[in-house]
Amino acid sequence: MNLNQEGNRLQLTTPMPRDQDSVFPGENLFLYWRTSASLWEHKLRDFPARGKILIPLYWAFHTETGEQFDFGSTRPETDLKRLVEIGQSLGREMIFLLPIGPMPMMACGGIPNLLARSPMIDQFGRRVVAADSEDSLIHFHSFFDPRIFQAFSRFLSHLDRYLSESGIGIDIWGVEPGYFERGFFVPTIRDYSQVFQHAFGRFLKSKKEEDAELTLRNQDEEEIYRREFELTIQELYLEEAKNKLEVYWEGTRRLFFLGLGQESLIQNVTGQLSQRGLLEESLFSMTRDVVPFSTLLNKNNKGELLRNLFDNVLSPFHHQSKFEKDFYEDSSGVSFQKLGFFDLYLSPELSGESDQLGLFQFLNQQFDQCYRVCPLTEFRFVEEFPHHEKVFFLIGEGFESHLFHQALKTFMAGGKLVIDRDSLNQEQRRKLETFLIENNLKVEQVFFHSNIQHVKCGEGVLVFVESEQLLKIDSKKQEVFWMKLLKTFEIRHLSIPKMEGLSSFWLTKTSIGGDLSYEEIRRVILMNPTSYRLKLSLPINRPFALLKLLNEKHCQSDKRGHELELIFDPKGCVSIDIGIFS
Amino acid sequence: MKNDEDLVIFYHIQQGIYCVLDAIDETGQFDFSMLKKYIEDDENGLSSEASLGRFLDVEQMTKICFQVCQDIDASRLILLSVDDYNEAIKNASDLSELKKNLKSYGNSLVNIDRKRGFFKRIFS
Repeated sequence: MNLNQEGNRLQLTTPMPRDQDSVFPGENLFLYWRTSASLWEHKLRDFPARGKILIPLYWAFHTETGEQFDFGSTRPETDLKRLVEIGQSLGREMIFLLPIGPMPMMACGGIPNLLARSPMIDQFGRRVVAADSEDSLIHFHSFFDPRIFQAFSRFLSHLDRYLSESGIGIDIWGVEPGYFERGFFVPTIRDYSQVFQHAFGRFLKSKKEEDAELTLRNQDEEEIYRREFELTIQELYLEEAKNKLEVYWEGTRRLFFLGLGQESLIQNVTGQLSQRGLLEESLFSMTRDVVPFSTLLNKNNKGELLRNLFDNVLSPFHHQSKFEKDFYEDSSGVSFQKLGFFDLYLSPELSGESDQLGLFQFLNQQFDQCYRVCPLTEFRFVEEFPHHEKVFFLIGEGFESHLFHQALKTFMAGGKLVIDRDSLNQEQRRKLETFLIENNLKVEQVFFHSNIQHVKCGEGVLVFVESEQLLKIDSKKQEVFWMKLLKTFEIRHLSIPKMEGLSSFWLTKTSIGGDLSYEEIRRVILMNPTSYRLKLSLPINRPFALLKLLNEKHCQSDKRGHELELIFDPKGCVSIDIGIFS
Repeated sequence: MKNDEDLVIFYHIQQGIYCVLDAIDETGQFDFSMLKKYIEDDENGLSSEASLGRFLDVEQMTKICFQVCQDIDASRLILLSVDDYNEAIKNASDLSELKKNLKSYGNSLVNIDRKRGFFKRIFS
């Protein structure tokens, strides 16, 4: 066995080219190091004709020592210029993805082998590894090691020089790989190793120097500072990349890899990653505005249903939404978008599975996950956005003044907002009172499990609730509260009757051409990931009308009057197009 | 249940408390609701959301985990500490090696009372 100085198993940083790419073609991810350069063109020709081709940059593949770099001078597989030229000759747009943190399908997480000295550790002291699509174990190493940062910086300098000398004009996105745990996104950079602890110790010391009264009373409090430190270091890497690659830099995105994380690894050991779990995780990640990738799944874990979801439903999101805009196009070239009624801007502690306010439970139940959860701090007023189409929730700690102004601007532009009054500080409350008086706006008040204030201005609606009161009531009451409150927004949705195991995903498009009698066309994809048969009766009444059924697989349908009867065999699925009358 | 079926339990020690983190058997991740029941029945057992079960000492953890092993009729109980787990990981290059290592690095207890025959299992 090959071990390095620290006794860790060495991993090849010169991967063997493999004939078969392990990604679903629709994901448009091209792992150039896995294919001989002589086959690049052939491989790229096989890619779906639509969308950008995503090329993750494999740092260690271009350097073994972290000092000398190869961009095609020795090995043709490192020749990024040639790769881009092939893409151009095929009329394809390419983008580079620069991992900020260990990338799970790259040996040692993507760092040069000689720098792989500090194994990454999780909160229980376990080494962090991932299994790739060939079942090989990828050992992660701490990105909190200053040597890694310095070497990363050197790589960026060489990459920048190479790109500019080669005249490669290409967009680069920084990507944050990760997975979901209890509803929270966990970036692969997360670490609890000795290296992290030392650096974190210094960070805490400097915090205490800034604030002499700072004391950490328990582990939860320490965890908050850990996250702050993690973010600081992540930002450091990002800033370095942004500065060094300024000309090419487009921004950052999160990438969610199915099969990543300790729990998945343990399940994978027994060869039993649940298809249902993977499907549900994929749909869940879409509510968190993170597109899933199947790159790590071996062929046994890529079941028919998951393949169908990725190929027919999610693939447009891979190459468009995350690196451009929300967009979906089915095989006939008809554009669809993900259906979403609500944008939930929440503080981090409220965005996990714990669902303290009972909001997710209600939205999952009544609106089939047609919502999106975003960090509260990211709320912005967007001028061209059709504000009346969505309801924005702004709840939680960290309601900075600029957010408050953005919220009021959105309201004046016709936006509908639900704001947690308890999130506002005294000054913001005073400003709100002044705003209401100055604009001569009438406030209606009612108490129903929480004080509710309702303000209307043209199409704009502003509702204030009090989260502290909501936290004190049970989940049943919370559900009734949200039901009554959201009913006032008169959202038209054909709710799918809830059935254990049945998954749904909604898309929408405005009516065009022959569909003019409808204001909007919606498509729902229903899937049965269970091992048993499911029967669903779906009443379709005005303003909804059944248009057609598509992609029926292991599913029988029967229309009786206004009711559609569906019988799903295991792994069954169907897409249903529904028109909405004006 | 097959003859070679093992119950593998992962645990770590935090401030002197033994915490069960995860468990697998041949069919996949093991449903540990059974352990929770034992912990509730045992006056020294501690329950926590962060782990599947928490115990004051290794003997108590072993006793209860072995009861689960007997109840599901597994052939062996394998208890893996974080150090055992890390050794298993360190010396594995792929999932099949890891699976092999997980069964050889921890402490194992054989379930000698295992009901082997078909009728014995049905009529016990």
